[in-house]
Amino acid sequence: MSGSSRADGRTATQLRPMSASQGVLARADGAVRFGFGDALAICSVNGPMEAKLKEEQLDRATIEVQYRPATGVPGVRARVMEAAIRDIVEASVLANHHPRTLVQVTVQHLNEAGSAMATTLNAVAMALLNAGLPLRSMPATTTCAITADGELLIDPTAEEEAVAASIHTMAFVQEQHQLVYIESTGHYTEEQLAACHELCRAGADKVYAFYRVALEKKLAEEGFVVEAAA
Amino acid sequence: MTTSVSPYAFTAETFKRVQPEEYYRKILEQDVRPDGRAFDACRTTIVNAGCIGTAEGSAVVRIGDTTVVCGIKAEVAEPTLDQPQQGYFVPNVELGPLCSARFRPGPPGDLAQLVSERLRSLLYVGSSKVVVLEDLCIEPEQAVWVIYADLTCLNYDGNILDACVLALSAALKDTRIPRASLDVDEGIVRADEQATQPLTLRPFIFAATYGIYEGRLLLADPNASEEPLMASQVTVCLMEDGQLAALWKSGGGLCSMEQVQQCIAQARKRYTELASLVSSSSSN
Repeated sequence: MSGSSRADGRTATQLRPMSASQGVLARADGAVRFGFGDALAICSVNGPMEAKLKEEQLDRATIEVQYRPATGVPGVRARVMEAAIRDIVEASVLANHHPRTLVQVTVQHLNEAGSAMATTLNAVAMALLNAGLPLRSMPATTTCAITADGELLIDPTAEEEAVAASIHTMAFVQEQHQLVYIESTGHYTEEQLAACHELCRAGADKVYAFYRVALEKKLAEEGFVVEAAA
Repeated sequence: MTTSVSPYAFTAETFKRVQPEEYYRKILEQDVRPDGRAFDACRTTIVNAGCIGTAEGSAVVRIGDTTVVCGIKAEVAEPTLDQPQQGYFVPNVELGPLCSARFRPGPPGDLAQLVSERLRSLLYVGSSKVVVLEDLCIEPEQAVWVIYADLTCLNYDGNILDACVLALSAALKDTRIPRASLDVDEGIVRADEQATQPLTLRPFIFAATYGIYEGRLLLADPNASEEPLMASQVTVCLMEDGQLAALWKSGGGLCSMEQVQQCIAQARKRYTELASLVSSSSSN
């Protein structure tokens, strides 16, 4: 692909710089603020804790999800977001290790600047880890957009999303790059979908690397000696 | 009390209720599904368009026992400031206690909102808009049509998204809106009920949903008793030109890109079936 023409000077395959603050809420079991550039979301996780009698499930933990957008009241889009968050939590938390308990996941979007779902889902994955829940995986999510000219742009900004022909959000687990979640809307060919899959997968690898660095940093601050990765 | 069945023996029905997962596993091991379908077979699908006389367009769709009615209503409204030439399209899905005991009366639940939002995204995101919103303009900055698509589920037996997309597609195709013009002197819109015209529609969209069982088996068109056992569901929305309009993979299970591609390949076959169903339903 030729030189970038993106407004913020990134190349087509370049994510915005990621940021994360871990343990930002004193009263929550786990809380992380995650960002792709200006796009920021904060997620808090509580649990496993006591479930209300009617919510209790005998063989697994009940998962309660709440999402609030940066502005306005939660609408139908918030329901889609909550369904996606639930998928991520189901894929990572070992719910049947904590029967008859409740795991509460709450997300507050802080600044909507494109790739809203990827920002949210990555905040959720990091917050689950921060809460110290036993996890089977940590899904990493990236979004890519196809412009009207057919150019693929990873981690689109809100301006890029507004004029995109299609928008693709994919969540991966590290193991064999299996897919946890896909939301892919617009107008596109199967080949374009496959290309988006490649791009999102490469992006997800960068998100994993970021998870790793963020965790190592936090452990080092707490005085643990982190062995170098094999 | 005088029954010949020993108290320790299970009937198939009891087994299904007590151990649904084990029941399904045992049957699926025989390469067949509990209702007798092959893995890639969809349930019998019926489309009946134009059955509600008082609506601008309508359709009833049945996929197996899942029944959805879609009614299209057109009303006049003022356009938004930033899109003065565009009308609106408002889909709304209702899943009430009428269709299944799992739904409660009152405001739309999570599933109903999720399906509504997915229908809306089919019509709004990117260039795949089914309804050409510019054609809903009566007078720029003054009056536009609002198309309300109300979908009500009468009987819930799984795969509600496919049924809703099919009902919406068939109903939109059946829709005729009156020719309208703005009377500038009186400031009202006059519509000629006799002279109606069909909506300008882009290529049709149909959806096909596949459940992924234990990360390996692809089950087409899962019904209500199969749905909770599927760790993942993939819905493929295809358009007439063979391109995709949407693809959703949900559920906490994992799947590979190859499985997604298999779903797309199967959905292409399903598309031709559904397209011929809709075109034959509206011809009478």
